[in-house]
Amino acid sequence: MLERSLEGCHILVVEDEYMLADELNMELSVLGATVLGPAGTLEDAIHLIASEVRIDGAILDVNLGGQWAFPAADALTHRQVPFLFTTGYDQSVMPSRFADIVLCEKPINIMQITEAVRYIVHN
Amino acid sequence: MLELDGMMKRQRVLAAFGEFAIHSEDLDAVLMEACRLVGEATRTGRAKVIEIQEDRRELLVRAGVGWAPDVVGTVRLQMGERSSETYAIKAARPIVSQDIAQDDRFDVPPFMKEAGVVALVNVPIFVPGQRPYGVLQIDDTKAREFGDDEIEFLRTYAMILGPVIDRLHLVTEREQDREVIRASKARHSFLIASWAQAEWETDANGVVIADSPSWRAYTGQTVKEWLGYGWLDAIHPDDRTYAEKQWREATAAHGLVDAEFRLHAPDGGWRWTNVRAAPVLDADGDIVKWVGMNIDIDARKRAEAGLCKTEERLRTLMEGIPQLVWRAVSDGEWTWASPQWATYTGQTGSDSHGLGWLQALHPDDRKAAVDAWSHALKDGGFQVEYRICHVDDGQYRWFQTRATPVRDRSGEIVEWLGTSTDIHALRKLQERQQVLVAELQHRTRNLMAVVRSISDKTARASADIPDFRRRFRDRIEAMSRVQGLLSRLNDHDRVTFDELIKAELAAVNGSVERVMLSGPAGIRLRSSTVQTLAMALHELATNAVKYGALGQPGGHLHITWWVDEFGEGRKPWLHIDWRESGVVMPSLGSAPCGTGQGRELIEKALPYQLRAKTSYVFGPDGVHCTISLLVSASTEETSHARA
Repeated sequence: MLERSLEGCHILVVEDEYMLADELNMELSVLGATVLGPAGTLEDAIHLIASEVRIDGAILDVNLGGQWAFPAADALTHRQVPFLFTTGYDQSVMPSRFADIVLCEKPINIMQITEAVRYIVHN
Repeated sequence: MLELDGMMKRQRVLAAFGEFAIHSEDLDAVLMEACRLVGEATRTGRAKVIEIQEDRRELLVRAGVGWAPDVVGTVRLQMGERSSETYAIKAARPIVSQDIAQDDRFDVPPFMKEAGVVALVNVPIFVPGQRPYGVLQIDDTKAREFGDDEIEFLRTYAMILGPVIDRLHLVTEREQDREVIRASKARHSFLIASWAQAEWETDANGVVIADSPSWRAYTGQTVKEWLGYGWLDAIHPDDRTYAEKQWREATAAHGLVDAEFRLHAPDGGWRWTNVRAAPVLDADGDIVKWVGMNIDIDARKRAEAGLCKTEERLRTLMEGIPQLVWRAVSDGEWTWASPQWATYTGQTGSDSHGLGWLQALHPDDRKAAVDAWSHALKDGGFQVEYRICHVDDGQYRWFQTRATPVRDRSGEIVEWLGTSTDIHALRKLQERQQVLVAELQHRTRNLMAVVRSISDKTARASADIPDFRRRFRDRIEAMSRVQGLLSRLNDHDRVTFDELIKAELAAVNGSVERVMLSGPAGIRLRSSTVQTLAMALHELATNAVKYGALGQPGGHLHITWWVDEFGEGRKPWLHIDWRESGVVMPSLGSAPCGTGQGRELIEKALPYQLRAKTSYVFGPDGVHCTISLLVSASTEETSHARA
């Protein structure tokens, strides 16, 4: 059962496309998660990662208004926060240091992504 | 009586020899006869003529009678202190040995001892000028004395012999000279015939006065055409002045002539010829005549010209093609670089030779270049891409470099011929292409995600399927219009705001005459903002048709925009003012109609996605909406558009 499976989890959403950010926000809320953000820019994302007290997991869009989201990913790694990438690109654009990070290709399947979030948060 | 007989006999011998010698031209025959006669006169039957050889160290038994055939013309004796012959020559008088066994002055050669010689007399022979020729030697197999009269006879005999030998020597020398001249002439004729096509003579002044059949055959001229200076007419008009000048200068200076020019050929064409001539001088050093010849050098000249042309073509090709060309030996050491390389890299002279060319490469690419050479021999080819520094701007450009081995007849690699081709533009294009493909993929996937999101939202807001269908199609069409505008753009083009607003208004079925647009044309929108802004304008227009200014008879829509070039962050901001008026609004308290998605887009999506500043207010007689967002730095034009 997926319902309320992310109850109490603080999930950071970084996505520049409003529609998609809004969608993730809604879906994660339905599963009981507290959504941090959503952040639409790299700047906002970095700011949230630095300032939020509790982050249990994150969904990170690779391209933020033309900027690579990798500095945010590095900040999350530094904080030891599990995260996954969403992207419209191929695996090939990903730097090798993120080879082990789950990559969800757009258009994302919301079920799949929440499952992936649950997995990375609980493992 | 005996004495008189002997004297008479000796006189006859002298007379007989004199007569023989006068009529003979053959030295050997004369010497043989001399030996025979003297042998008879001395009653020994043995006599020899022994000749000093040219090296003046040896003596040769030149002629003889009473001796075995292997002695005459064969036996050689060493001249020395203990040689009786040498002794006699030095003493310049006859020397007698009555019994060689008793005579300890001399060593007698073994062949004479074997022949049983016991007594001998050596009479030296001198040719005119007191030059010693050799000895006349009379032998006897028993010991004996030689009387004074006998010695005197032999002396006289030898004195006659000298001048005879000398005369015959001269005859022989002349004969030999004639033979040498004949051989020399034959050699010259052969050489001239082999090398020269024509030979001829002129008078001392260089004027042709004698026929030359070989000249006529070579040029096709007649005798009349050839004589005097007529030969000049056979020379190519372009070469005539030069040829005449060469000839006149050489003849005036009494020098040698060596010139090359084109000569008329009997078949009507022109042939290259090398003319050589030399003066013939008399004993006083005056010129008697000139002899000359023509050597045909047409094949050589044509080959040279052909080679020149080929070389010229090759050089033009090597230096004219847009590639950088070079030559190298097997381990990548350059031996030559084309001028293009020098021009491009600034490496002058031999800077690029050896491994100097590596210095012009990008430091990161040098290893790849060296590695490629290490495989070249095995692979029989060389191909690698690396960056080369342009001397003009210090920038590195990508080049594709290939080399092919040049092999000799046995298939061994002699050297490598290489070219470097500028593929910088191509490579940049490829890189750009890759970026574009990735970008396209990214946008398409995002777009699909947005479409799905719109469908979800529309479904939630729709009353039933037909309602969903109408609303959804409406929104998809709005997105399509934006995609249409974006796809028409070139690299640096931008969708302008007036374009966008006009497209949106044209798409809705509203009363356009009630719309007033006022603002500058050509405001360039950032491409990343176009889609979201267009969707927001679409929602505003749709709502205006359904519920607002474009749907009600008294309504007016006034859209005003302007650019603040130094807005927030000192960047250009576009301010849009959407003001509806004359609209009958629903009564206070009841929910405003159709504001859901439009309002969300303006109040949430635009600020979130475009960092826009927005307001959305229901006024007393219509909606008033403002949108402010960043636009592209430069605007193409600022003229006002009104509708």
